[in-house]
Amino acid sequence: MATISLTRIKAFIHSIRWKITIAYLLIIVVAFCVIGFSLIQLVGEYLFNQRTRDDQRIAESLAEEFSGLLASSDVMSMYDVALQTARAEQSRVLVLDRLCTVQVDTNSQLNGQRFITSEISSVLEGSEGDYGFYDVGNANAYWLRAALNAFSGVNAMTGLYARSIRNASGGLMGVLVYISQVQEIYESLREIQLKILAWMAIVALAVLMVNALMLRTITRPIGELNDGIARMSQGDLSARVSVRGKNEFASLAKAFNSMSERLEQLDNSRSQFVSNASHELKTPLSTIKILIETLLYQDPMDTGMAKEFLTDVNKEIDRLNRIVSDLLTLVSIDSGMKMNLTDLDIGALLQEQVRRLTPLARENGIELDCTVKEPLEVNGDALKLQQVVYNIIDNAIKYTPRGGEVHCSLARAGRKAVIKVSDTGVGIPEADLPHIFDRFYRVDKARSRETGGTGLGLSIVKQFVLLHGGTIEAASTAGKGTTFTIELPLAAKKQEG
Amino acid sequence: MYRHVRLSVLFVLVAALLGGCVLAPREPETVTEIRLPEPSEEPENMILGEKLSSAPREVTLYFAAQDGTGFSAVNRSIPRDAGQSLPQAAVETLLDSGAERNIRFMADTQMLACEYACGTVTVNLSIDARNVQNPQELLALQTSIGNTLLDIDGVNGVNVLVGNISESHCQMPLGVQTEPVTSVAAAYAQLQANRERMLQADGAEQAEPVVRTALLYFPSETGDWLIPELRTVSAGKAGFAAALFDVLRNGPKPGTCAAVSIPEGVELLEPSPAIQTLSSGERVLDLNFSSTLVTYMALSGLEVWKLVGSVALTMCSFLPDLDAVRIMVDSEPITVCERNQILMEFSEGMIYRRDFSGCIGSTATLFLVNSEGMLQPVQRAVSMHSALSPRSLLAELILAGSAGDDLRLPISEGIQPVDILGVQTSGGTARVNLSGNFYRCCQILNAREERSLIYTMVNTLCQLDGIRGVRFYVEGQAAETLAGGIYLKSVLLPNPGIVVQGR
Repeated sequence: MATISLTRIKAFIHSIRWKITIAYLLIIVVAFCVIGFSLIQLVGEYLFNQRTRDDQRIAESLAEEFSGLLASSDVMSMYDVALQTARAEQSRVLVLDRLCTVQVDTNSQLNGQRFITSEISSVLEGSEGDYGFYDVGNANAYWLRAALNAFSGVNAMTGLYARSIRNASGGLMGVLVYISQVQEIYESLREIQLKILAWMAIVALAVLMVNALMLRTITRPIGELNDGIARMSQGDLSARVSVRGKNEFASLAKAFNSMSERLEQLDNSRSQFVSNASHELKTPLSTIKILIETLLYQDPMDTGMAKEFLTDVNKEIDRLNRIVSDLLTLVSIDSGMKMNLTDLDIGALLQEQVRRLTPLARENGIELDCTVKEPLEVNGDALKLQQVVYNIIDNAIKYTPRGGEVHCSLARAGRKAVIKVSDTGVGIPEADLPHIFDRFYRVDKARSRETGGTGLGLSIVKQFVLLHGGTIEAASTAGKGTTFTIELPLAAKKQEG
Repeated sequence: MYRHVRLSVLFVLVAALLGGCVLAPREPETVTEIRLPEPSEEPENMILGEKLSSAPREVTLYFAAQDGTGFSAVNRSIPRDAGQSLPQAAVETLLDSGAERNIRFMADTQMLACEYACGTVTVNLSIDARNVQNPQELLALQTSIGNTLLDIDGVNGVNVLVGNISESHCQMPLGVQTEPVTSVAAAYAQLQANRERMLQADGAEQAEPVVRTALLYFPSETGDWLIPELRTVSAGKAGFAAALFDVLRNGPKPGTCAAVSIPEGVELLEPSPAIQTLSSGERVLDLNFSSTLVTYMALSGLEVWKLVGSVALTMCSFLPDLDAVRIMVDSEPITVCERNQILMEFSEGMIYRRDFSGCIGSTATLFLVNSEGMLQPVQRAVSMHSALSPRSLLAELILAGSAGDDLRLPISEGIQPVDILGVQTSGGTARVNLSGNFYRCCQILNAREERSLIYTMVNTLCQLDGIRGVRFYVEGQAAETLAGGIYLKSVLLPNPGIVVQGR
């Protein structure tokens, strides 16, 4: 159980879903941190600068007012003015003499004590004023400087402005210290920070949820494809995936389905081919076996009959030989046959094949003619094109009854040489037309065998034509005849002409 | 696998780093040691006794014009002799300057005494002041003094006597001057109008009373002093003597350190006492009490001298041309009384103002520490000299702080008035030299107690005219602190923030 869990965890860690989630989280955290830090920094600086300016203004005004009062040691007036300001501004005012002894304190806590900060020291050294922020804490002590960007741990953030109190001649009489509470600004920044954190959490959660939905949308087709491929790898070529939408995954699913469909077809073809090949090979072998067993076990046998039997055996062996030869040709084509390409006169080639088959046609009582409208050249393998033309005309002669006609023609159609072989034969049923180029496909199996066909001729013809970049089509009307049209690309030289 | 671990670690580090920028508390900067400014070295200043500032003070002197229409104001810088109060110095300067200016009515007049107590000044002039050509000149002299003294901070009322007798104007008492007079002629006309009204009131049941301000003298709650208090007296048909007696019998204002001088329930047998002129020419006021006075005084514990002194000073300081008072019980005059084990005898019961002028005291505001550690001002009756003497005030403070129950000093034991070795005032600063014993006693104080102790002294001394700050020394040496908190090398200004008003 633990192993399963660990495996699942490992699988999850390795999954694209986890990686994308981590990437999203990282982006969110980084973005929020940068934005949040910048925002808080900007707002904080604005607020603190504003407070600093306000405090400076008040402190300068007080220092000016206290100039005469300190000179006359008028404590009551100083205290009243300071107290009034402190109450109005919720601040604290100290008046120090030149020895840093507190003479007026609106909180009446530091009177008589010495009070020094770096700001006061700066004023004593000649500066007109200086400002600083402190975390005075519960002890109300001014020794801990507070960083403006310190967003935690500050208990009582306090601004301290020290301003010189000078007499009429500009001599330093004392220092006015104006202390204001800036904890509320600090708390505001903390609040902003917490809000940013809350928003970050909310956005992160929302993004993760959207991310989960998106990832589910993305990874589900991948999973289905994965399942389909797994099923195919296990031999189930009927595996298909559902196609949803029009996105890349839908295209991928379509491609997969198309591929699997094609593979299934190929598998079926292969099975059919093996079945057909087996059948075609088995038929002559069975005949040979029967004839030889007859010769072996029928005793005594007439010599003539024996000779006749042996002649039949020889015929079956020839047939086997042809089948095997054709199969080897197809295998050779499938495994990338080497072509001996040359520019050749296709008209001459057609006429030569017609001439070769004319005796056969004449023997079968069929009129064979050939029309070459113009000399055309194609770039091809002469032997293979000869076999193409020979097979087509031979088939036309074979399937045309006596008294019929077979017409061959060569013409140019654009950049192609078009060879047409028409007969007035039995024709091909419409249902069989799409399959006549399949291996071992026979329209009339008995007749085909009678004519000595292997069922591979048209298939080889088509493969040869395709190897030359051409096409072959068949059009037929049952009982009226069939026309095969072969289109071959013209040789480049001819095309230019 | 390791690659993923590395990526995860990297992610966590980046997140922590960035998060840390925003979230992590920044280590605050601790303020480094800053050197405090140090005062320059000063030599030993062994102050012993009391040395008050003789620095001249700026005072405006008002000289009445010869025609009596107005006053001319002259600012003068007045030097003071040791122990001389500012009002006293001002009057002396005024009279001398008047003589220099050939102002007739000021030429021969001398100041015999100047009683400065509780914000009031009673100036006793020599009888030369009567050598005037007309009553308006005497009024001009009196109002010149009054205007001059009222211009001094802290002076609320001025009573001018001539030969210890309150002079009459239009047979009316002038009373205590509390407001500056702008025209002598107008003031005299006002007095005449008042006189007319008084004469008309003799026959009328409902007459508008004449109002004057008088100085009433009440015995102090503690100590053997008679404290002056400004009061308004409204005289109707019964006359000023009866009205003054009624006000005196009502007792002092609440919240002061004065007590009643006439026990409650005591009545005069003659409700409207009148001034008689004896065959010797002296004018005397007989106040005849019933015999119940003795009983009531025994019950209240009031000493006879306090009653006698209070009545005599009050009546003689106000009623015009009154030489003496005779206080009788069932028509028997009181001829003897005892004050601080000293027998006072009054021939034929005649009690003069001068008999008790030495008993006039003043009040001083002392700051003591309450139970919450805050300073609370309390009024104490002291001699007129002590009220103006920083060292005496500190002595009073130590005594009051030791004796007080609710209000005391943070150190109540171990220190004596003699631990204030000396006080010197100059330039608005009182330099107080404390004894080593005082310093040692302070070592047990915490910061708050130290602050309270220091500021009881500072606030108390800064009540005095001309003292704005206090500097402390210990055995003549500039000490850093008494107990570690308050810096004593600075001149300390008063701390009004720790003062609370009490009872």
